[in-house]
Amino acid sequence: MSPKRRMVMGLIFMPAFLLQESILIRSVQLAVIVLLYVLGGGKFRILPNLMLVAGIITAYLIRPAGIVLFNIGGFPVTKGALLPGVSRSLLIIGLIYISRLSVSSRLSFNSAAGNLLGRVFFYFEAITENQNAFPYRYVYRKNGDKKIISYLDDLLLSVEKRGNSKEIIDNRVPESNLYIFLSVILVTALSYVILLYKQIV
Amino acid sequence: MKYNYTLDTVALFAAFCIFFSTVEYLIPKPFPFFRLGLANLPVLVSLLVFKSKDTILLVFLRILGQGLITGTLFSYIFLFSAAGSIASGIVMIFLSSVIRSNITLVGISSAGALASNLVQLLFARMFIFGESVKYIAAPLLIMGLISAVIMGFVSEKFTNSSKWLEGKVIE
Repeated sequence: MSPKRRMVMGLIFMPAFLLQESILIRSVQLAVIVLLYVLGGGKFRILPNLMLVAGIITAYLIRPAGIVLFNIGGFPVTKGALLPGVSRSLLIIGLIYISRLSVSSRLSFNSAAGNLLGRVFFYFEAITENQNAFPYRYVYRKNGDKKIISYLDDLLLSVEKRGNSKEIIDNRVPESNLYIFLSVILVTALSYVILLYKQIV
Repeated sequence: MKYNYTLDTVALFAAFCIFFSTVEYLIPKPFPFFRLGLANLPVLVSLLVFKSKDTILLVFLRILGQGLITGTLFSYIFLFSAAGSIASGIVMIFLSSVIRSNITLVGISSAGALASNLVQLLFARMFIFGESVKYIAAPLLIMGLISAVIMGFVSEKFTNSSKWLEGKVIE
């Protein structure tokens, strides 16, 4: 699939994912997207995604709301905090993988502006592919601000160096794969059918 | 002080803006309208490094890239974000080019946040809340100002200690 087609497909699919309110359907959509991403040659690392989900849900649970479902060591896990936390974490991960499926650093609009936008995505990929791109671990530490600043400075230097080397870092989804293209069309169509069905019924 | 940079550096800064806005999206907010403005950090640094026209380009690349990456390109979120970013960009570029020697990045950041929040309040009044917008105006402006001061301090610290920036100085 060409970068332009991938992008168009991603843009068409995104509203169906964003507007989906059901956690179950959103989970299925996410599973399919991740599966297509992996089948297309992308790497899916479980631990960083689990940590992301755990981090977002924990942040939501800090502010209890609604019915108490159960307690963990005396800490109440409430329905009103858990469900939005789960939904938000699925949304975040889904958007990341939809973006990875649809946005390619080889994207070109055959114009100066298009090439520049392509470079923006190239650098964005280089930043996000960096392990621990944002040093959350420094946030609450003594002199954490200094460490964050020097970390970001190093990140800036390394990403720019990578850009100057003209290295092609898009090692994720191969350019042409008819089955993946057809699967994305099918998933998109199904997502819209479900969305419309829920609006009508 | 002048800095050596290319159009590719503008793209690099835009990528950092998009990265920071993605990070900000992950942080749960006490109020839905509260924003930290992390994505403003590269724009603030760019005021020192880039010419005004390139900072304008950075703002537009940030808006477009953010819309594409977050998938909000065709939503009202994009409209709000674009209006706020353009307003703060104009004010910050104006202050930076006119009275740069008499104002710190904290001041520029605060003025930019004020402009951004005022425009967003205007849009919120027009499209969502109507007259009720006055109830969220005060907390939005106060929180926006607090976060802008923090971002201003961070960007000041960054520009004073950055090795990357040091390597870009030409005179």
